[in-house]
Amino acid sequence: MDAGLLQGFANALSPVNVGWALLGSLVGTLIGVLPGLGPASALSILLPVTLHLPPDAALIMMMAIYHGAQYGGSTTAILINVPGEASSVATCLDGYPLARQGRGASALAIVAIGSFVAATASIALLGWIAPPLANLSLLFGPPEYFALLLASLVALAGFSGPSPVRGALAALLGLLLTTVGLDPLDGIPRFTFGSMNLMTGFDIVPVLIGLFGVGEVLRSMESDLKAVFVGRLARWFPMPSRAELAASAAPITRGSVIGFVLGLLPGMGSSVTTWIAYDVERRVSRTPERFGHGEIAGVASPEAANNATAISGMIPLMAFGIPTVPALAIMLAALQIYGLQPGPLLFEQHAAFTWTVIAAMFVGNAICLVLNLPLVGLWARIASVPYRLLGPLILIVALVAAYGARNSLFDVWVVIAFGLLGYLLRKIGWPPAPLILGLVLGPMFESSLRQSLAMSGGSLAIFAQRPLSAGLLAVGAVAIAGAAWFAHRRRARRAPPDAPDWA
Amino acid sequence: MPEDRARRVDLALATGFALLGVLVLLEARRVREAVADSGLVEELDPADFVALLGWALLAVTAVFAIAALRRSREADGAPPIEPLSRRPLVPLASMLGFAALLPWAGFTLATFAFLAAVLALDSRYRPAVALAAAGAITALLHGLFVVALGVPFPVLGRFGI
Repeated sequence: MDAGLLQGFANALSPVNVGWALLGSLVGTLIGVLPGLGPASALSILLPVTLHLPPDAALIMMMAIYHGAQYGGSTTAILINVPGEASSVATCLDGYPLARQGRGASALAIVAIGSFVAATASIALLGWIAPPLANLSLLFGPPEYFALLLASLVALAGFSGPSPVRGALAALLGLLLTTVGLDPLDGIPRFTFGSMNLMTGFDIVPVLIGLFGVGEVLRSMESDLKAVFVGRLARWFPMPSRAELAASAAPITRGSVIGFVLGLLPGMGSSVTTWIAYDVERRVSRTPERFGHGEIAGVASPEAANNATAISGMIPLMAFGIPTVPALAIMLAALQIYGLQPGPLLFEQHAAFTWTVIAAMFVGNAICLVLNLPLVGLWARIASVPYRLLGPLILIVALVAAYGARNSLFDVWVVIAFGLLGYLLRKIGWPPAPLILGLVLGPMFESSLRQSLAMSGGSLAIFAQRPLSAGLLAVGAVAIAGAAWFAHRRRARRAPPDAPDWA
Repeated sequence: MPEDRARRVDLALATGFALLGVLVLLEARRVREAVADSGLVEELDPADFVALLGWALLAVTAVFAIAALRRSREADGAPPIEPLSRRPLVPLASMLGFAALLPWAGFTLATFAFLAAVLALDSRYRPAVALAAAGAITALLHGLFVVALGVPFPVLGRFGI
């Protein structure tokens, strides 16, 4: 690992790659500060743009966009009470009151430092855990892969929103979309209706742009943002006091641990883990009554959890090719576009490239810390620009980027169609995440199921006879039971409408 | 009553999913004929997988429909349905216009037309301001995508060289 990581740092720190990371951090933060647009939207809109770069530069830039968008969401949550994305909603609760008390600079600095610490520790753990875990996937045959994919999809459908049934329908829709085109094993056309464009199926890039980019922008354009930047920041480079740092150390640690551990599980996106971290912090606090009125721990812990979750999700992605959240599904799509298949071969055949990407996470994270603290005032003002101005610009970039990925006009129509679908899903409160995960995992899901049954002569008993697949299916069953139990409890308690939801 | 409206929406969705499930099963039947014609023999062929998804869709839709009939949307834990707004209609129509214009008017003109339409139809901008902003942003995007990134667009379409 050490030699690989050192080589990775040597590549990631080359002036050209640092330049791409810098650009990615800026653009990612720029999109992240816009209400509703989080890492998934930022990555989906910018993925086609990065396709014009060499592979290492493209993935370095994607990583920086990912980090930048994470940072961006919290900045506006604190300064103007507008969460850039669902995972920053918890930050608003204490961040905005802190800003109103004139402690906005301190809150931003704590967020930046906490995020940096959480992300750095998580990246180190990623580099340590992912390679041996990837070797574990050598034990996986088609039945084990099918069981893993089924368990992941079930967990995602169950926990990605307040209603498991809606999540299941969205996941099934995603799986169905992958059957459009020639089937992956025999080349039999399905759902093509005689169209040549449909023969190759839906390209993942325009679908992602439509669902996450265009869909969210259309909804955001409905309301004109009237956000107010509360006063000036006292210092151009915000720094917390020693007392604030001391008060935040334990919450940052707890938030990092919660975010990292839960982030390994499918469906546990940042918007879920940040609320759990916030709740834990309030419960362990000696002054729980101060939460919601400007408690620095209420900002430090969720933001640490947010960044730790974002990184720990990379472990199942790199080891097994299982994305736990939509943003990572887009990262998986990017890896596949460059012919990189996650798993043990990623660390063996593409070791230099993989360690460069991991090192680029460190670099992107550090750039975000150094760059974003002095720029917080600028980001807050950008977030206050009305959507009627920003929206058309983002939409045209999305359309043009979709066209540019394959020079295909059909993809532009796909963006519009899926944009409309994404918009409608948001309006009726359905989670788009299971749909996109179904779409990303669908081909592997079908192949592994068909190969498993070919191995067993059509007997489903193969999944129960092999210990690993049986264990994974048991995990899936527990996930179903857990989701049903949580849904039942929620019904019993009549959860408030602002309960965590992630898009 | 918002609750009645939400229930109607959920039932309409259930109907839509049920119809989709039937369509999927019909397609599975068609694919099965294609598989038979090709002489493929598999434990789970391309048609079976589609049929499996179709039946799963119908089963989950049934659970969804029963839940929609039995209890309120709020009790089911789902967030409230947001009322539809007219505002996204202009950008949506402009995007469709962009897609229609792109092959023959080219990237630059289609982009300008899209931006001018969205900004000018927003009544808060004077037409001159909207056109000027559309022109400036188009120039910026032309510089980024055509000049810097070299995306092979039909730059000026049939009007160009």
